[in-house]
Amino acid sequence: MAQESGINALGQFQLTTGFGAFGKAIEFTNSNQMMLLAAVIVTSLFVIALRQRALVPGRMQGLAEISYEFVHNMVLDTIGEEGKRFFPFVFTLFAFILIGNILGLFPYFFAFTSHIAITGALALFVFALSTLVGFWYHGIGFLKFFSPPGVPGWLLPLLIPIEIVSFLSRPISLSVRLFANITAGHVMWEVFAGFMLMLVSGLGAVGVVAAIIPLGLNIALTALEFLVAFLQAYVFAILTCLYLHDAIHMH
Amino acid sequence: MRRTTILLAATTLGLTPAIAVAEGKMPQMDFANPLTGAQVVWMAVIMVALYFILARWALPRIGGVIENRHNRIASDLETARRAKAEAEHAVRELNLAIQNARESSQGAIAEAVNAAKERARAQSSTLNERLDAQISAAETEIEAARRAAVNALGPIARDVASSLLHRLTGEAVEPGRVDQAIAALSTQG
Repeated sequence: MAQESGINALGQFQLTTGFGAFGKAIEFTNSNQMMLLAAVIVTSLFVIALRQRALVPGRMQGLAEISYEFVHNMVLDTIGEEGKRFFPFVFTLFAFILIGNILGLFPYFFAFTSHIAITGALALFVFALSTLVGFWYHGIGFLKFFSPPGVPGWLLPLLIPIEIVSFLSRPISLSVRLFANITAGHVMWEVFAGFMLMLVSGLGAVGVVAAIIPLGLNIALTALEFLVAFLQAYVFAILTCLYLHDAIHMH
Repeated sequence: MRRTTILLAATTLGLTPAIAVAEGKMPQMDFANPLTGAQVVWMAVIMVALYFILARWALPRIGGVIENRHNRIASDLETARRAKAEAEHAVRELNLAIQNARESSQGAIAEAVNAAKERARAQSSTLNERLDAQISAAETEIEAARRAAVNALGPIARDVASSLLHRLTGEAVEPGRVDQAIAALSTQG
């Protein structure tokens, strides 16, 4: 369908190089441009917020403080007191993904969280970190994580492989959830936009009127995508906290 | 949250494979493209930089600002609480002072009343004494006047009786007989 209208719904995910010849030489991609922009936005927010340092915060300072306290509470509530040392990491992850998701919603911008290589790398890092933290806190005893307490012995041969598989599937579900959500939203946008062009080119004046329906769907989808952009960043961050909690407290 | 996830998962499952088939490969799955790997390397660089900016500079400072505010609010509340306690203490002292003043003033009033009564009593007793003295003096004077009058009555009666007898009888009367007759009359009456 999209092929007929000459629209490639997946073209928006095509990687190119940014920053001209220099970017081409160092393979700095268009997705990296967006990452850099996201990092600059996050840093700027704090630069502006910290320039005021008012007792009664203004808008930008309020935004920085709200995001700080939001993630801080999430980390402390989920991981506990030990979570304090992971707070900067979780905050970086949350801010990076959230701003990346939101930047991806703007036309002609690139959604780097729609790339499985990116989300997979992030998820693998979280997985590796939580596993290392588990061994750091409990040594070899962290392997007991795979045999839940209070389970009869004859069940263990069945249960331990299940626990191991569910543990190993964490980075997969973590990365695919984010990648699929962002990709799906962007594909649907382009597919509905393609419908509009098909209706207009195929049905003429009637098609122009009928194209209001996919247009309305796209508008509704925009609102949904803003929700998803926040929600998926939140889900990624809270699951990171949960994995770290499991590593520190063993259930 | 779960509903949107399910919805999007369903749409992903429903749409993406169809499109992927229609369009050929998804760019995300094109791992032969060197840029797919390169973007991950650059992401690592950017995220490490962002992590150090946030962890070393931004987050501790924002945390400090927030903590500062919490401390300020706590100290302000503490000051207010102390001021309230002081005010309550002052009110208690004021009430106590009012009560004391009332009691002492009542004592003073009672004392003044007693003193006035005492003085009035003293005054009235001296006045009574003087009046009594005057009355007794007046009684003595009256008694003396009465006695003088009674003493003066004898010669008057003799003179009257003498002149009456003289008129009636036309003779001079012996003074001694008149005195005897009067004496006899006065012992009788």
